[in-house]
Amino acid sequence: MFGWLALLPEPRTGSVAVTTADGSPGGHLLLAVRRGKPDRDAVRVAPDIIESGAIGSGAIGSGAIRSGAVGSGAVGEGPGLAVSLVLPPRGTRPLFDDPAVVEAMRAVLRDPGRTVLFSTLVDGSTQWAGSVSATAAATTGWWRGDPFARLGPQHRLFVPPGVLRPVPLPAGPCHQRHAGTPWPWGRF
Amino acid sequence: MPRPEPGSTLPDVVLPDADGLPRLLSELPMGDPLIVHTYRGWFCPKERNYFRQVLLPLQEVAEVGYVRMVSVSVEPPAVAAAFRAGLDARWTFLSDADRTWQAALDLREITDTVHDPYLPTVLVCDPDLTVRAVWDGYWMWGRPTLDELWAALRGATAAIRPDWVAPRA
Repeated sequence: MFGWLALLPEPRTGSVAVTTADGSPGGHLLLAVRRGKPDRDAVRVAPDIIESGAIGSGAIGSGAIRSGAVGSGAVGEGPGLAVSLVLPPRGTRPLFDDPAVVEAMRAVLRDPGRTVLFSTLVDGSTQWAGSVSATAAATTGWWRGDPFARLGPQHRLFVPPGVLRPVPLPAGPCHQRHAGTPWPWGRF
Repeated sequence: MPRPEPGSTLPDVVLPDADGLPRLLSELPMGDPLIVHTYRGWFCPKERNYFRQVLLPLQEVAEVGYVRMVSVSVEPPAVAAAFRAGLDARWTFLSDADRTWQAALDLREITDTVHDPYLPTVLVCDPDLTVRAVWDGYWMWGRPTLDELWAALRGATAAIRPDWVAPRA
């Protein structure tokens, strides 16, 4: 079962309205844990950072999209978070093994306290498709300090409570993936 | 509990990491071999040297070898964080400032009554915290070399990866 993430311009069932750092509308975040892509623009994300309120009780096996009403937000107990979402468009995504991606993962392990959750994003098994990190209280320096922000366009978002779940990083120094999964999630 | 020895299982424990976040030891291996390293503290030149000569070079290999590493001391998280940052370490440092796990493992260095630090020790463990190899680092030359750790990690990996012998067509 995969985690999926898409930032959409329009709301759809299960999406959550998010705002930008200056409070203006930031789009609609769609998160899902299921086998198939919930949207053509969705990329894979670590499923454990997705709040399980809507998907934790058997729905994972049946392929659920977060089941809150459009734009309603909370379905779990995770806190509201400031999120750095780096989402390079197709055609600009480097290989996951590109030295720039590897060095950014090293930077994440170097400073694990910077973020309360982290996942790289993947599309297929070879391309790096972005990253997501979060903190309870963002400063300008925090946004700028995202080591992945130099690799693609960064969305500075505020995500309401009940959507994302803090998950500490695993022990380093390993930054290799398991069978194409979004690092650091997964294991052999 | 007697000191860790091959075949014994480490008692699980919750300790704060260098950011003060509580971490459950058994959740850290994530299915990979785990190196548990206890050290006296930042103040000890032998520790600084061992980090530089062995553990930091090991990090450069372990980062692509599906291996996890943990270093444990009695120093508070803020001190461990500063030391870790200065080393440019990318693995997890745990703080046992209360010395509860130190006592459980009988790893107090009794000859240093000023710091009551950990006895320098290096363990190679399976993902379930079963100890595969132990080195007593009270004397510098008792500590494992990079080659010895490589050999121990080869054995640990071979034991848990069903495809250790590369699949054939």
